[in-house]
Amino acid sequence: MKKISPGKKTRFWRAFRRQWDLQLMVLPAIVVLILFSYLPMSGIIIAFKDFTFRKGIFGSDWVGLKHFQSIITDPFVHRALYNTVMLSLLRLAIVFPAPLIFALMLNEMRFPRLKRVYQTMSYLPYFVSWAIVCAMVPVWLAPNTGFVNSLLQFFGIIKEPVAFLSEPGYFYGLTIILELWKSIGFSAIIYLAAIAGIDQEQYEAAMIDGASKFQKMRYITIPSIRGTVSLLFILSISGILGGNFDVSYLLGNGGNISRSEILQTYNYHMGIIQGRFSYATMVGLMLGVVALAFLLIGNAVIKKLTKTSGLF
Amino acid sequence: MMKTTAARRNPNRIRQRRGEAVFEVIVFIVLTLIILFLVYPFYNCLILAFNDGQDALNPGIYLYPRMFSMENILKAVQIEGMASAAFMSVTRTIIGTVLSILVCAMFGYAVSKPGLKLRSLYMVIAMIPMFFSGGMIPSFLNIRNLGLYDNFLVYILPTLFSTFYAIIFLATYREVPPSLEESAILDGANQFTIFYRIIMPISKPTIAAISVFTAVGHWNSWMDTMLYTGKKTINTLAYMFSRLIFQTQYLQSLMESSDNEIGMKLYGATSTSIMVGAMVIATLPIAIIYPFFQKHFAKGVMIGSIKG
Repeated sequence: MKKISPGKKTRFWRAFRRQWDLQLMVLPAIVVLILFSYLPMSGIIIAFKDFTFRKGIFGSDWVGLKHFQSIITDPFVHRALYNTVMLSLLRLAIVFPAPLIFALMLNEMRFPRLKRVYQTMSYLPYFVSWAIVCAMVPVWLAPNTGFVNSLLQFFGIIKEPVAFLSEPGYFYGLTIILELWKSIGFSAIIYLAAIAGIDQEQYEAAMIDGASKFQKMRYITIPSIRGTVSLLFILSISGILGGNFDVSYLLGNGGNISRSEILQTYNYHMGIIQGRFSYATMVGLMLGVVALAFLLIGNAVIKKLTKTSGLF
Repeated sequence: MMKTTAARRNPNRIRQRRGEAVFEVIVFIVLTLIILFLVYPFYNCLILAFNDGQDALNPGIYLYPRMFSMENILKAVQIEGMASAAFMSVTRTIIGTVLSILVCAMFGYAVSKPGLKLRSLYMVIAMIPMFFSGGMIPSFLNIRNLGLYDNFLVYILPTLFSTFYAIIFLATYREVPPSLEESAILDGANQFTIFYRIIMPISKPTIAAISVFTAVGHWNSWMDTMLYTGKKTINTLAYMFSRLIFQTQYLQSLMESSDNEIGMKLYGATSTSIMVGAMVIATLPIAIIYPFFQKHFAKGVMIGSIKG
């Protein structure tokens, strides 16, 4: 055995062993991450192979960009991509800003006790599973007995009952309304917390200067929470582009498939139902890359616009 | 006092305050409409669940049950597989939440120590999956390769660690003054003892908040059942409902199209009502529990948002 003076390596191991208990605490998390996050990432290579169960992930034959080429010419991918992008844009324009407006309005409400009741009620939809929500939707939208059709007829918006679920033209609207309904109250919590953290002296000073409520909102509240808004924007970009598998899958049917099919549901149908694993993995890979690109672009844009640090 | 003198001096001020009153009334009305929009759909299902199924064939049940009946609820409990699915959901929620809190909290605690060796490596390993994942198919194949397909553990193991919750724990434990642990270290206690005896008790609010999120996630999860299981014995409640959607749509098309066949129509109507009863039963635990946890999760979101 060679005799060496305690070098960098041995010093490291000695310190490592001394904190064995802390290292052991990290271990379960790292094992879970490797098994369920990093192992699947390595499985992405089957996008460049012809996967068969018999040969396994690493044994299957390489085919290069074959699947990428067939995706480019697949009209169903084009349709799914179009729907994914359109829904993402609608989400950015409507679902993202809505909680901010809701929070600003709640903040302006006079009666504190009613305000708290309203706020509590507004989170409720967030805690109900998409599976149950989407199971209730056909009941709400039933042409003869559902309350939505009755209400719209009562106000004269429609004359005849509409079968909302089987008409492709209503699917975008339905998805956006459901997402809005489910998340508006919960997402508002963060904005309300940010508003509560604003220095009250600014409002007092504004009041002495005779600023109206609206001016206070415009010139104090909104600028003060700009950082929170841009941070949430970056954090939600990848989720927004990620699409909503739950609604598109659970409420998608033969009638509305031309608008309800998004990349995620196409991925599922190709991979799990039809067993075209390699092809579906390529679809998923493209989706992941596009989402990552959007995240980086969004981060750069926000950095430029708000002169904040962004996420990274 | 000051306001009135200011108002007397400046007539514009009065007009402005009248404008503000109008503004407040509008805010109140709009908010009330939003809350109705958020809550009424549930209420609609609630009254339908307590209404006679055949009677519900006729429209007009919007404010209260027209023909009160407990039958839907009683029959919903007896739907085949419902009881075992409820048992699975409860079991996975309890086991999954407890273990996941332990894994996330321990990670957050260890990483909150600046002297932890390999600390930044661990952080990078935890952060990357937040932005990039293997996707549905590689995950599916991975679960099969690990032998977890059709195994109850598939509900527990993959969701044990969440980077987001671990970061919230990390933010909480950073605030703990080191003096709290010093006497325990002098007594020769190891970090597990300190974690269990000192750290866990003082972080109860964070643990409560994250428990609520994790438990709700488990209770509501249905995709893992669809992707990773094939046998009915480990079905969960949320998954049962994801199947009911297709059944409800089918039954409704039956009701709409079969004007002449009264029998079919009645069958469709009563079955739909029973399903609505089941949905109400599955939502009720959350609706009952959540006002009690409300303040905890609001706090949890705030901690998370500050650290972002």
